[in-house]
Amino acid sequence: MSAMLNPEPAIALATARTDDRSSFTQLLTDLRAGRREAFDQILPLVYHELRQSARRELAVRPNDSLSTTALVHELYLKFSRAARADWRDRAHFLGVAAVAMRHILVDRARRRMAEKRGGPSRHVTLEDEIMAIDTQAESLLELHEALDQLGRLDERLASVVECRFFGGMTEQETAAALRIAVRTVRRDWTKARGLLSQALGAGMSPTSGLSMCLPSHR
Amino acid sequence: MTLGSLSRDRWKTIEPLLDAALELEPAQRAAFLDSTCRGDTALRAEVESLLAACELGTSILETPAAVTYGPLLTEPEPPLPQLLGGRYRILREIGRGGMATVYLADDPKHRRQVAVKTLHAGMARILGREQFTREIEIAAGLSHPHILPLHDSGEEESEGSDEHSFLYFVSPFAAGESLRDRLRREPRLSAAEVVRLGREIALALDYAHRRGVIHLDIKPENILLQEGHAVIADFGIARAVSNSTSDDTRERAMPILGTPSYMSPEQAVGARDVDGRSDIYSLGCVLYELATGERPVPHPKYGESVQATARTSAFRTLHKRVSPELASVILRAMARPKDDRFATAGDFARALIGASRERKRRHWHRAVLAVAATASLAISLMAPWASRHVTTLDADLIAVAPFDVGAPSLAPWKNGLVDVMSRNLDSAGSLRTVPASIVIDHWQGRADAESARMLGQVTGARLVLFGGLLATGDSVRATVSVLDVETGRTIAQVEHRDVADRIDRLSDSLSASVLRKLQRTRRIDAGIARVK
Repeated sequence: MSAMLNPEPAIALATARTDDRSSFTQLLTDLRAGRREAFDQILPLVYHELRQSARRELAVRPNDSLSTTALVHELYLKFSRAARADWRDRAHFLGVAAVAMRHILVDRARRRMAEKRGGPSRHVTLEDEIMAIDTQAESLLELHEALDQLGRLDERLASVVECRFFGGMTEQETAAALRIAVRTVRRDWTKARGLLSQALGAGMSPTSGLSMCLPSHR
Repeated sequence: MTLGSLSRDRWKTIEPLLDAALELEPAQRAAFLDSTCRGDTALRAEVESLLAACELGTSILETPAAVTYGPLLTEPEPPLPQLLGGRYRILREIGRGGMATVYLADDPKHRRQVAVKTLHAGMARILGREQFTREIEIAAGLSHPHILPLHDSGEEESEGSDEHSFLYFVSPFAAGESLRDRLRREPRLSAAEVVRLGREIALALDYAHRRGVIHLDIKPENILLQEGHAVIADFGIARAVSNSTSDDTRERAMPILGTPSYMSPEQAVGARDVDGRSDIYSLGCVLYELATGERPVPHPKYGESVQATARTSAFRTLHKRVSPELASVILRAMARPKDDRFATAGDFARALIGASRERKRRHWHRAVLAVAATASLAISLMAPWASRHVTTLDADLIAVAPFDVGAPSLAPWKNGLVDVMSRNLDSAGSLRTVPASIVIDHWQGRADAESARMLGQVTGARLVLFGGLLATGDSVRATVSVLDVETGRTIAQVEHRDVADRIDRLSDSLSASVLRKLQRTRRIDAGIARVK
């Protein structure tokens, strides 16, 4: 799935329309059938909507952490109402949302880094808050690069990371979205994280914030 | 050897070994690699290092990306202009909440300090401004001793950015603490305090609800304490926000505002027909916390409110701290189906008082009295106006008599003003009012001193307010007297005039004047100065 990612996600927003019911239903059917074009067409829609709802959630409740599951579920309900979707479409939809979430976060992190280089200084916002966010942006971009490398090595491993980490999906959901066994998901998840922790750990000193940015809550 | 330098071919060699080794217990892996790598030390080293990394790797990426990196999506706050609305000079930040940041500001025009709240940029962007302004105006029309007034509101362009503008609103700067601060000092409040504060808040809610304004975010942080009295802050803000955002053709879900611990079940699921009973629920939760020192559900998941099992234990906790009467009043407010709660916040306030009176009486007649079945029963049993033989008059109790009306068009205000003015006067200082329904039941005759005296005798109210409305052209003139039933003297007389379709405003003026007069003869807290 990661091979379908645009390396520079300049996704054409707002060009796709959600109100075209029949074509949307078709898209979901194609997605379930594993057609790559369907994935490419649906991704911008999900990207756009997910970003909107994530922002709205954060605007309303900035102190709470986002729940991808809640956001995606809300989004899926909306899409499925529009498309009279089959329940089996949900897993595939979640898979798209996971990729969209990755794009959203990476785009945002890139913008942060660009602002940091040339942008205006801000007052009002607490300084350490900016620091923390900049550190987050850096760590996310590093992870993103490592994940691209992982995708070149083994596409499926990267997809599992997208589903589990970016999509907040369960093992079962990941298995359904990627059409593989739950056991395989579990194994891939272990291997992928092994490879990633090796890659990320190698390029960074222990104090550079990796451990802070890749929290170990279990 | 890490990701970047690992080739696909090499990975194809390594992966099966890694898979197989991962299947084994750690102790068996060395022997397995001995037999499979057969002297290829480089291969073995790579697999071993990867195995070790897989062990370490189980501690990363466990938390979903949205949680770890969610803050990246928050909008940075653009610089706030030094002067808002050409008038308020920002001094410093004094607080930051979910939706807004609060600043202390100077209002040189009125030589006072004010609290300016600016909505966060992300929030401001998703709002429809016109709708927001309209709702804010409604909230600004609220005038009640237990509601923090809204002085002003507006929109300010940010310097050097057309994308951002600030929506802000201005309130008096309250130097006192919030109910949350008080809870930090005192883990639990006495039952009497719970009743007193609960009643003040409920009456303010009732007043606002009758004007169609719902708060939607009642919580200890939003209740300020001024000279010991409860004052609700941010009235109408949440409502303004939710109305503004629901007004959207792309059928997106309305953002769910409020704080999960205090949010009514219907509000938590984003229902559109949320009404005043949602605030009643939230206030129930606040009183529960005041009484027990715990939140009804310490950390509810987003979207979930008090669940059935939690409710049972909530009941037990509450019963340990307060009388069964008060517990049932609080829990009734917290009923999951809104139809099971009090119909109005005014009913809630009366039930609170009823429950506390019941408690006092239980102390005196512990042996006699069985547990009152419901709070409303408690009221009818215990309230002084339930008895025809009141011997002592309550100096803090005032009854507002039905008005004499001079024209058929004014007929609805005969009893209507009883309701409105009773609520206006209630809870000013120690003053309490006899419920309108009781007054109307017991009222006989015209609005004169004799009927007023009778009303006082029946209801136990030492003070009785009575008067009349006269239509003259397009305007209405109201005259009002307050009788001290015990001495038989009229202690206040006021007169006001207003246009016929603004009787509401007229009643507010009357209430304020009456309170001002009463203030001369009795101590009523400064809060009443805000009734305009």
